[in-house]
Amino acid sequence: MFKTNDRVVDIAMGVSFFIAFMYAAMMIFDPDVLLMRYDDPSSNPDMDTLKVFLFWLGVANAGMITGIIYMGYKGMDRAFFAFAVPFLIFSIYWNITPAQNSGNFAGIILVSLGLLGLIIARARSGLPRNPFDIPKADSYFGTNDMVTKVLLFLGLIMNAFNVVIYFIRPEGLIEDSPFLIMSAEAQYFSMAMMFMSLAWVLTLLYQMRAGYSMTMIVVGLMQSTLMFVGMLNFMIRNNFSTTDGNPLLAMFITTFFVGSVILFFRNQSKA
Amino acid sequence: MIKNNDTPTVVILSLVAFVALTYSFMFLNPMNAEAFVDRTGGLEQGQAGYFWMGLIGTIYLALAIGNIFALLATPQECAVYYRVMVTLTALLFLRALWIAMTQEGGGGISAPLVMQGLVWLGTLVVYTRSGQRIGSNVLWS
Repeated sequence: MFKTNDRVVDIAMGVSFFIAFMYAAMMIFDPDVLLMRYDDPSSNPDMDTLKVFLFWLGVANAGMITGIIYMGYKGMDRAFFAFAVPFLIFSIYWNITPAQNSGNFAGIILVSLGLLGLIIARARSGLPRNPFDIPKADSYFGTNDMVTKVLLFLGLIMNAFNVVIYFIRPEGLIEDSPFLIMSAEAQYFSMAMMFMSLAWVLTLLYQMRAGYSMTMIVVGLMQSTLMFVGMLNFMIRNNFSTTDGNPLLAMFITTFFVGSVILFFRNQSKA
Repeated sequence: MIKNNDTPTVVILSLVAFVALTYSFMFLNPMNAEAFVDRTGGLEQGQAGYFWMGLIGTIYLALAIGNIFALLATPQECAVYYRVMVTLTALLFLRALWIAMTQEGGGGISAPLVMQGLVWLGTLVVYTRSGQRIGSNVLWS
């Protein structure tokens, strides 16, 4: 597997896969389990709001496991590590406050194990050791296909916009979304969304220089499909009400989904 | 990456996978499941009902993933999968039809009935276009 014939790589990636899979399943399908374990009795946040953010984090993990499966067949890809390693580092940092408040350090330990697995696998897989030694492709994103190039630039701009807007107005996402209720916890959880966008910005910057990555297109397709399906279910639940949603967020999710589908079907035959 | 090079088959399998994923999220998430039950006309639903809905959601999720696997394989490798899907969707359509026909007040054409019919039709098209229909490659002797 992973085109390395190295059992250590298989095991290390397997450990990362298992941890990401476990968190994806829990965060998407049963977020109550996690929220109960990190409950802080002194506060009383709106649980449905926290579940929305946990769903997004679960989606990020589901994308990661898709990337690991893809690399299992096609070989290791630096663009995946440019996304996953920063994302897991951000996740550990993000986990510190909830762990300190609840005294439950299981999340930090498991995510650290997942990160360690990725680092070991990357170190042994024959990829260049220096992560900043990036070969330059002939053109931006290493392709002459204008549609692919435009969509990847669009993804870079939209994710960078998410990051910048968070620093300008951190409460914006919650205040502009009628289905989210503001609390100190909700504000903290929304930071994880910015980390997800930041990880995407890093991998897209890498791809802009080194060439686009089919692994990350598959990861993006998985994440965007789950987000779009989640949004669709939310709309059905609320009888397609036009007053309960956040139009900007809906536009972002829809663009992410449509763009990912186009990118996948345009480029899958070359992979 | 996609080994099935028949465009209508790829489109139908992708659409059915998407619908299956949407339904799986609807049944697996308790809030969505509650809204689904409300929309069916206020049937009585207890914890046991949500448990079974969760199970159905899990099967839908597996079918969505199965359709993606079918995209990544040749039609010949998917022969048994296609037959299972055609049988399953035909039975589901018949069940939806039966419920519509036996409802008090005459029932009528509902969205789930139309969806089930379309999914059955879609899997039949996929099956036929794959050239794997029984009789073409199954020997009865």
